[in-house]
Amino acid sequence: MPVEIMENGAPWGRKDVLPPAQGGAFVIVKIPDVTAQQVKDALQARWGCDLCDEEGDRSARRRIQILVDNLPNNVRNQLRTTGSYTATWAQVKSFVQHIRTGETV
Amino acid sequence: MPTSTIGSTGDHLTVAAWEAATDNDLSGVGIEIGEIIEALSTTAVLTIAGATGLDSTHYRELTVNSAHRHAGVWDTGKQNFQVSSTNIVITIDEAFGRLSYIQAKNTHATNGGGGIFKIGNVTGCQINQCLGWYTAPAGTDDAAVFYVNGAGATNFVIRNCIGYAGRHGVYVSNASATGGVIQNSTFVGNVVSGVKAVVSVTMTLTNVYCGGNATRDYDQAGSANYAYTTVTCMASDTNSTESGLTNSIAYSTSNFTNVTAGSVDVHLVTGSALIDAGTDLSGSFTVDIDGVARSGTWDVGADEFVAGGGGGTSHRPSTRMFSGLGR
Repeated sequence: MPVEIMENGAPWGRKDVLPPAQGGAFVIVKIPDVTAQQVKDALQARWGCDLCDEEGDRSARRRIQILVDNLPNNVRNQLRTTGSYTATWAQVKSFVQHIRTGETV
Repeated sequence: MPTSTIGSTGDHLTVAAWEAATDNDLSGVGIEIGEIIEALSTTAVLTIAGATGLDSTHYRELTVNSAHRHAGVWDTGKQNFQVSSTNIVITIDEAFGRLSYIQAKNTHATNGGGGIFKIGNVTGCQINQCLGWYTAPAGTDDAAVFYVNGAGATNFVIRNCIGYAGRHGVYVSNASATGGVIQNSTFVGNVVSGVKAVVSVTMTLTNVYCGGNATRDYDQAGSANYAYTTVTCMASDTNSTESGLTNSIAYSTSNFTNVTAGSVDVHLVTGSALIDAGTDLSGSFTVDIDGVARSGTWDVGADEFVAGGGGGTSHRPSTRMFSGLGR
């Protein structure tokens, strides 16, 4: 479940970057070929909702998920152990799903 | 009592990240604090929800470190939420959740929704030393600065808070939201009411000032006759007959530093009628909205006036500095 979309170079907090294997709560997916606003706009255009609670509806955030089970094993392993993975938007968006409909971006 | 810092050099970059990281089972944790450690300006709304194992000693609190707290006046150089949204800026949707020292503004320009602080259908929540400023037009009733919503919103606390220019300063929307208290707070310049509640809400207001609110200062179901309890409260209205309420206390510079819309500063001035007019609540808390100790006979409202002179300094953060020269 995505929590934040920030531009490249965002100074993530110490706990934000802690890998799951070390007890961290998050992973960071780096998508250098698009801006944060482009990602937000794509989600807004696709499903009419803002990912990051700007519409004030916590359930909106939960409607959009990256289903970890669908990720390739090497990606899951890297996210678990290092806490981050770099991909293109074309690679990422096929895993960004609307949880109720199964539609991807 | 784990504390996570929030900011560019903290444990979490954003309040949203802190909220998402800590919405866990707190039964073995205690009080989970998120402390903003810089002049962080948040432009997205926030909902605090999802933690479990909650009670009066197990809850989450979002607060600000002392260096970056507001001083009872809107200050963009301090931590702030600045949002333009038809939704509530900050919602507490889990039991016993707390906010302290937060300043937040909603600037959306259309009617409908979009208040500042909301306590949802959950018990035991507290909002302390928070300042809310709403610059939109009349909107709907949930466009209050402090909005208490839901039958389960019992035993809430709104303390040492300031709210202005919303539809209401406080709006309590459910008759079953019993046991709430509003203490030492100031609600001014709101489009309809200072404090409004629906029929039969029982709550106690102590040392509250409401003034300059367009329809009436204290309201219940559209009437100036209310069932909630007021103790040493004050109003600029002239005609209320409720007990525990003093009328005709002007919302003016005779009582406050600045009452000009857009530059409101409700720190008390010398000679203010609110000085030494309150009830001592030191069994519950001992400071005012900007952390100044309350002493002697308490003042009404969010600010405790501190006079200058005699052997020390008293700092009025936004307006003046007094030196201890015995004047």
